[in-house]
Amino acid sequence: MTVETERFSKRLDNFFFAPEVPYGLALLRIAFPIVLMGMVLPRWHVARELYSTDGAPAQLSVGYGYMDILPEFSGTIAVALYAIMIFALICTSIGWCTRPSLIISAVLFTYFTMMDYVSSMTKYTVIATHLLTILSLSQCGSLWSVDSWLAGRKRQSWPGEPSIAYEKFPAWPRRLIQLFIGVVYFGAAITKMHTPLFFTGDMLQYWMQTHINFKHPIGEYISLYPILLVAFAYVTIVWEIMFIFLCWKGSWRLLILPVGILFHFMTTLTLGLLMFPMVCYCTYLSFMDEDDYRQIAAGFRRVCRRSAWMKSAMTHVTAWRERIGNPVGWQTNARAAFVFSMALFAVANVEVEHWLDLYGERRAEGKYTLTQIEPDEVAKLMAPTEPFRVKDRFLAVDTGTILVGDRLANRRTQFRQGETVIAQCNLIPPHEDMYVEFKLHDSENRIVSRQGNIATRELFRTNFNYTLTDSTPTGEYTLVVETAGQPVLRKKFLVQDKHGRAAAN
Amino acid sequence: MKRWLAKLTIGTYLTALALGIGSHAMNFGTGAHPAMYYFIWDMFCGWSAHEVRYHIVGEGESGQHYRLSPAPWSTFAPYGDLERAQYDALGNSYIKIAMNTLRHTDHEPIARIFVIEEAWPKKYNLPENLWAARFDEPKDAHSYFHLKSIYDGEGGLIQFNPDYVTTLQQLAITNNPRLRADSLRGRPFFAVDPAHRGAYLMEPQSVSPPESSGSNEPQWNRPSAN
Repeated sequence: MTVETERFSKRLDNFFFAPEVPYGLALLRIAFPIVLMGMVLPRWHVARELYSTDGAPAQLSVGYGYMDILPEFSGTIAVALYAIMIFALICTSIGWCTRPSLIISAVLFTYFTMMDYVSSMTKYTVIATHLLTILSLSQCGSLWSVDSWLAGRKRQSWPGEPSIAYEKFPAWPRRLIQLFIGVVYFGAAITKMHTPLFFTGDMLQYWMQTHINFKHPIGEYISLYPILLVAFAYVTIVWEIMFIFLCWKGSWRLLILPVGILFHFMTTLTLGLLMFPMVCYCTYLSFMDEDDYRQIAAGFRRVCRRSAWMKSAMTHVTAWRERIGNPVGWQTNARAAFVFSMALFAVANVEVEHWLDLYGERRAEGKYTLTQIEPDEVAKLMAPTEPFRVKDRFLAVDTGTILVGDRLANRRTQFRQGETVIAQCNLIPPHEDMYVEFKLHDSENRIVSRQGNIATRELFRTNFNYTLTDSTPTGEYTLVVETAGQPVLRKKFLVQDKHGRAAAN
Repeated sequence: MKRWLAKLTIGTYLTALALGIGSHAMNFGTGAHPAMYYFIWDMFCGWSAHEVRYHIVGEGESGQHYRLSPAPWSTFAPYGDLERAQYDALGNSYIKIAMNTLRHTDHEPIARIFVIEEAWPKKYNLPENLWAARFDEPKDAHSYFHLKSIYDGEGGLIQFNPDYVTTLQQLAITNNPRLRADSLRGRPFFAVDPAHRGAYLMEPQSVSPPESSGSNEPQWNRPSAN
C-alpha cells in the first residue's frame, strides 16, 4: 500500500514537476493575444461607452445581486486603461517584459469584461481570463520572445535547431491549462445533462434557427433534420466527458483533439460562433510537448531543405540577426522603454479617441439628435399584446415511416400500400393543453380518417399513425391538422400501390 | 519554498475548479457570487422557441416617440449585426443605455421610456428556400409586441412586466378554470379600488419595483458561449 502510494505520489510529482522546455506555452503565448484582438479591437472605439461613467457600463455583479462591485472610471481613464491592456497583449505576444505584460493583461481584461456583461463578458472571455492568469505564472516568455532574445538566447531560436541549451521549467502551468480545458468540457457536459431537451434535438434545433450570433446558414439547414441533431448531441456529450481522461497521450489524443477541432468548427458553421472556437483551439497548443515539437521541427527542416526561397529567407534572417549583435546589455534600457512605450501608447490612444469624438459632441453641427419613430411603428409597438395565433403554436407536420427517439427519421411524401404512415406534428413551446385533430382527406377532399390527440403543455410533438391497406385507394392525400376546429397545418402525400405505381389517372 | 508555492497554487486552483463542477452538478450556489461565473461552465444552458428583440423608446413631452437604442452614433454590434442592447436577456442595462443616449443627444424633455419586446416564432427565421422545402403553407411571419417595462424621464421604474415567453407560459397554465378558482379561494383582502378587484387572480401581472421579482439567479438564456 505504501509502495503504491509512493508510486502514485511519484507519478503525480512527475506529472506536474517534470522539467520541460515550454514550447506549447510559448506558442500559446504568441497566438492567444492575437486571437483575443478579434474581441478587444472592435470594442476600442466604444470603450468610453461600454466601460466608463461617461457611458452605460453593465457590471456582471448586478445580475448576482451585488451592486457595482468594481470601481467605474471616467471616460478618459477607461480609454487609457483599455489602451494599456491592448499594449500589454501585444507585448505578451512578442514576449517583451512577458510576465508584467501577462499580469497587466489578465487584470485589465478581467476588469473590462466584468464591467460589461452584455457585450463583453462571455464564457470565452472567462476562459481567456484563466489562460492569461496561468500563463502569467509560467515561463512562457523564455523562448521565442523579445525577452529571450535580450537575454542572449537568440542562437537557438529556430525550429529544428538543437534545443539542448533551452532552459527547462516544471510542467505544471501547462498541466493546469490542460486540466482546465478538460474541466470546461466536463462542465459543459453537465449543463447538457441538466437539459433533457438537448438529447431530443429540440434545443439545438432552436439554437440553429436563432439569429443572434454571426451568420450560420448551415445551421438553419441542419435544423430541418432533427434526427441528425440527436446523433450529434450524443456524440458531443460523450466526447466532452471523455476529453479530460483521454487527451493526454497516445492514439486517444490523436482522436480526441481532432474531434475537438471538428466540433468547434461545426459550432462556427451551425451556431455562428467565431471567437469561442478560436480560443479553444489556442488551449489545444498546451498539449504540445517536446516530442511533438521535435516532430514538427523535423518536418519544418525538410520543407526548408526542399524550398530554395525558404532556405534563402532563413539565410537572410540569420545574417540580419548577426548584424544586430548580442543585445544582452539592452535589458535595463528595454524595461524602461517598456514603461515609457506603454505610457506613450495610452496617451496617444486617449488623444485619438478624443479626436474621434464618439458621441459627436464637438461636431460643427452640434450634438446628435434622437431618431424619431414613425407614427405607424409607434402604434404597432405601443398596441396591447395581440393574442397568440393558433398557427404559431405549431411548428410543422411531417410524414414518414420510421421513428427514432420519437423523432421522424425519414421524411417522405410518397408511400406504398402496406406501409404505415406516421404523421408527426411538432409544437412550439410554450403552448396550452390542446386537442389536436388529424384529418386525412383523399384526392376528392373526402375525410377518410380522423383521429384526435390531447397535446398537453409539456409535449413537443404528437403523432398519428395511418396504415395503408390494399383497400386504400392510390392517389394524392392531404393531411390537415386542426385544433379547436381551426385548420392549422397541411401536408400532401402520395399513395402508390404496393409495387410503387401511382394511380393511372 | 518555490516548489511549495507551486504546489499550493496547483492545489488551490484545482480545488476551485472542482468546487465549480460540484456546485454546477448539484445546482447549488451557482449564483452565490459573481466569481461563480468563472467556474460554472453553463454554455448554451437556455433556449427559447421564440426570437426576441428589444425596442427602447422614449416618449417626449410633445407626444413624439424616439428610438433610444441603437444610439445615433453607434455602429457597434458585438456578435453579428445586432446592437448591444439585444444581448441583455436580464434587462438590467436597458435604462442605462437609454439614459446614456439621452445624456449625449439634443432632445425635448422625455416624459417616459418604454422597453418593448418584439417576439416571433423562430420558424419564421428560415429562409424562403428552406421554408418551401419544409412547409406546404406560405410563410406568414408575425411579430408580437409586449410591454416589458416603463420608466420615467429620470430613469425611475414605473412598471415592470414578465417577459413575453414567461407570459405565454403563465397563460398556458392559468388557462384552467379550476386553477383560477382555486387561486381566489382562502385569500381574504379588501378591494379599495374597483380596478384591483382581480388583483389576486392568478394570471400574468405587472410587478413593481423589480427587486420583488425573484431570486438573484442569473437567467442565462442567451448564447453565453459567444
